[in-house]
Amino acid sequence: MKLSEEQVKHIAKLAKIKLKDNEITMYQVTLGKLMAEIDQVEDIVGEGDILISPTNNDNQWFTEANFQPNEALLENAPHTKGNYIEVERVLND
Amino acid sequence: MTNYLTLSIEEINKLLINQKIKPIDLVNEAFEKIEKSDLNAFITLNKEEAVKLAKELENQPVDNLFFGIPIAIKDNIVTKGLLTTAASKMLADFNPPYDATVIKKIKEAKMIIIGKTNMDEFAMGSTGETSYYGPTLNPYNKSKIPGGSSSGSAVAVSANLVPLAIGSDTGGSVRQPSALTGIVGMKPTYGRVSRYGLIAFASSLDQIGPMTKTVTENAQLLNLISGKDTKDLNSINTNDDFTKKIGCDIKGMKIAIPDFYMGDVTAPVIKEKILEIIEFLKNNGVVVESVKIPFIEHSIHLYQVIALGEASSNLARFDGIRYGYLSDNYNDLNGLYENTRSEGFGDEVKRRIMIGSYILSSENADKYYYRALKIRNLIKKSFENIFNNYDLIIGPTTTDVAYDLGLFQNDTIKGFYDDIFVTPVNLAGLPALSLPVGKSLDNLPIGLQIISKAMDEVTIYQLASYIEQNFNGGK
Repeated sequence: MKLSEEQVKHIAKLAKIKLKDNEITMYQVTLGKLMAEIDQVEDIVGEGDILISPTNNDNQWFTEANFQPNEALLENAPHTKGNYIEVERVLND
Repeated sequence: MTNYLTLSIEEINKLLINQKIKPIDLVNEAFEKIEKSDLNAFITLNKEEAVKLAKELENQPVDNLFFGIPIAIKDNIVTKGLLTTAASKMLADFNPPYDATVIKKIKEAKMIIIGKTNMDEFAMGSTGETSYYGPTLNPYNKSKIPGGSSSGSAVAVSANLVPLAIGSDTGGSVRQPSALTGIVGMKPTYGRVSRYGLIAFASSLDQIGPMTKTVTENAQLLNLISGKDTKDLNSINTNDDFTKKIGCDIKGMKIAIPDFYMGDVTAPVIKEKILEIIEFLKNNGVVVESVKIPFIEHSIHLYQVIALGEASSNLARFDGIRYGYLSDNYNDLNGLYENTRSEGFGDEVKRRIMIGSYILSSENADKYYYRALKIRNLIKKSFENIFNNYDLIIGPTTTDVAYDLGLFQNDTIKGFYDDIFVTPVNLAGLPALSLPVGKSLDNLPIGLQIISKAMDEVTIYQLASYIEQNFNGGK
């Protein structure tokens, strides 16, 4: 199974990954192989309730706050200004 | 050079208590060995801090078994102030602001962290080759893969660079490299060990586990790192002593061996060794019977869907904004995201998160993801049915011994099929251990996998130690 160029571009866009032209050709084949594998899930005969987590723990809220100090968190940010993380403009003028 | 790191931790502990050696002797030996080694087992060494801590410990009483013992940590477990890269360019400069819960426990026991071990990038791979920092080599034969993704942790223990290591297992990543490098590796019950501070790959499958030379040490290390943690809501409240049945007889035990594990995909050299073990167990009063576990043959495809879906969601956080790599080539926010992720992630990771994003998108979520979750439940029930009649399940950990480096590089599919015997356990959340039981004619290790029902690691350790002590083929 080989994916079309359009399919690969669509998949890359979903994952927010930019591909070069030669990469698109490569991924047509490698992603195609993976999809052929994954498609087999549809053919399994059987029904059950969905199992999201293998433990029996009930859904619950965290009972204690677990925050790190601002300074520590900001240390790894590529761009900061004062006590904030600096980001690209999201809205146009 | 001294050679204390080949001793058991109980022997080292005695030497420390009797003041025959100091923690610094162990630390110096570890770094000497690592610096001489060309196995590429470590990404970051913690030399300065390790030496400092060892000196501090000289003035303190030896108050527990792990006091002053060197340990290596897989580089996807965060360590405060010590680089944690997940073997990715994306996190090459990431300096965590906090310690994972397992690290906190390790530090409280006054163990000495020697360094962060090499691994497949973001734990995605089963050969150790997808690391941004280059492949890890197998100490038994440097032209062979050590297995993955916890490649460096396995090799560090196997080559006696450290006595103990910590790995993580999403679809076999502790057990498979343990099998291929001849050490003991345990994936505990999902929830046994807190995942707080483990860089998430597939959250419903991920579990941290101990990697050691012997079964007893494995159980001892699990004693240390397991337990309820309010920071991981899936963690379970238990305080078992995992060593309590070590040394007990196994007579009367009932063990199942799934026919799936002994089919055509299993290499003859592995099959022969498993048959020897079965014979040995029968001679020691154990009932061993072949069983069929419905749906287990679909594990590989369920794993692909669930692991990749969850990975794409977990790795969405790597956007170049708060931490990690940031591309310097962009004009707008979308360009920033796309270029950062394209340049920061390696090929294997990109493949997996692309497929993962696709199978979670719109109607595909029903078609693939929820479908897989339904069958996942059936696999869990299949296992439970077996454990109504049997104490344990055994089988090979891998289909074959270690193969040549580079042979299947960039072959995602081969990687998944390498894990065909180990992924079912993660889907069902069960504990399983890989035990070294012998070697092939060309001196490559073979691992036996022992699986129990949830929360019954104690019985796994009982059988594993019995085989370790009494089965001669393993020596």
